[in-house]
Amino acid sequence: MSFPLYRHGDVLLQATSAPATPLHRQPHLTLAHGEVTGHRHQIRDQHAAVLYSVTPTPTPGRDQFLHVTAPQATLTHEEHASIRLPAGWYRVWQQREYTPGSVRVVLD
Amino acid sequence: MIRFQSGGRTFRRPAAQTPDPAPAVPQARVPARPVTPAPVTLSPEDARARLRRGEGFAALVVTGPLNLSGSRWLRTLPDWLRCTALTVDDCPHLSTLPADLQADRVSARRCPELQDLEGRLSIREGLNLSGSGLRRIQADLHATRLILAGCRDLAAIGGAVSVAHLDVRRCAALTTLDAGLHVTQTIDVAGSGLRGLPGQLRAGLRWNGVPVDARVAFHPESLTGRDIMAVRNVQRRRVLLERIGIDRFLEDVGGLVLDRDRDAGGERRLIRVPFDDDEDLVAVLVQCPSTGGRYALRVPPHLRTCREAVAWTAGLAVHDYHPTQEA
Repeated sequence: MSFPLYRHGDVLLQATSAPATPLHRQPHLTLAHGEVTGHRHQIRDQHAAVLYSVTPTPTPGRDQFLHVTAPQATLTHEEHASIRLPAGWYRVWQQREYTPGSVRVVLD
Repeated sequence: MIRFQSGGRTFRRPAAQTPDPAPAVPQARVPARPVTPAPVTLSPEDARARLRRGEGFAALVVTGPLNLSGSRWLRTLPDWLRCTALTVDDCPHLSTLPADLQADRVSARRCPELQDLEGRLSIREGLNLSGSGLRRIQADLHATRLILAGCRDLAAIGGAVSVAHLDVRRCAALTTLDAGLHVTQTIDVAGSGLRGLPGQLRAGLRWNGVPVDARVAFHPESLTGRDIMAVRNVQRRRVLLERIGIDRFLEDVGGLVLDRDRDAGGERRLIRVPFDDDEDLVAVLVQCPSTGGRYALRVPPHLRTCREAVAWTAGLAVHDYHPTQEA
């Protein structure tokens, strides 16, 4: 059985078990930040979740885990409809696109 | 002794100097060169050990490359520093570079607390600050190469900055360059917020290393798909494709439909455009289920179905890509 997968624009979240790797707690709940538009995929409820990065100096949209600690948390964006996430752990990453010779994260 | 403030730092000048003439017009704030305290000379190993213990140095000469990368304990460096190479990548608490720094090479990548660059820096080869938290440069800075790629919050490069090559790729908050900026050879502007250069700046434009003209760099709206099909140089064609965007390019030139299906947003299409001398362009066109906006993502040319293509953009195998919800 596969874990539930959510797509919010170019951001993907997949439910997972609690990660065993060391994590770095982030002081914000912005999952990804549009460099050009300034728009953010973020959790609206400040006390409903905690965002972690796998690396000490994180790059939003990559190598992240979200822990929804409340019964649910709302994922919002200026343009996309909101998604409600049930309690639990999620791996967070961004869509990618291809260019000859390299693969890169989608930037909006 | 004269003291004055500049950018939050105090500099001293020798008392024996001739008086400065009264300034006629306000100039960019550039700190005066401080008096050199008697420097301590150390080997790289000794310098690292003593800095690690928290020893402070007014002036330090290091007789080789000083590598302090990844040092969580590092918050500041001596105000006056001479070394062959200084590497302080990934130092999460480092907030300043030396106010008076001379080195062959300096690398301070991914230092989030490094937000202001001030003082006098003379770097013979390159100063690499990519991915740092820089918000402002206000320095007397001479270097062959100044790399600021990915400094997302950088909004101003001021002072007396003179470099041969400037790299401001992905500096999205940098929308203008100071008229006093001196760049003798190239500026890489890919993904920056710049929409033009100051009139007196004659440096050659680059887009991710590829020479481009001002039309490609700053006015991609004037490009057409047919312009791009006519470009023979593969690197240049790829830059033009990036500038025009896959969506508009496909609008202009069409392409062969390899596959169609439907998802939560409506119809999806996989399109192929063949190029001479380069691999085919294959892109999946999808519609966002919540905004209704259509967009295209380029995917590897071996993919043959929309399902494969969209799963690839998520980094998943086709049988693992079944979204519970999309918005």
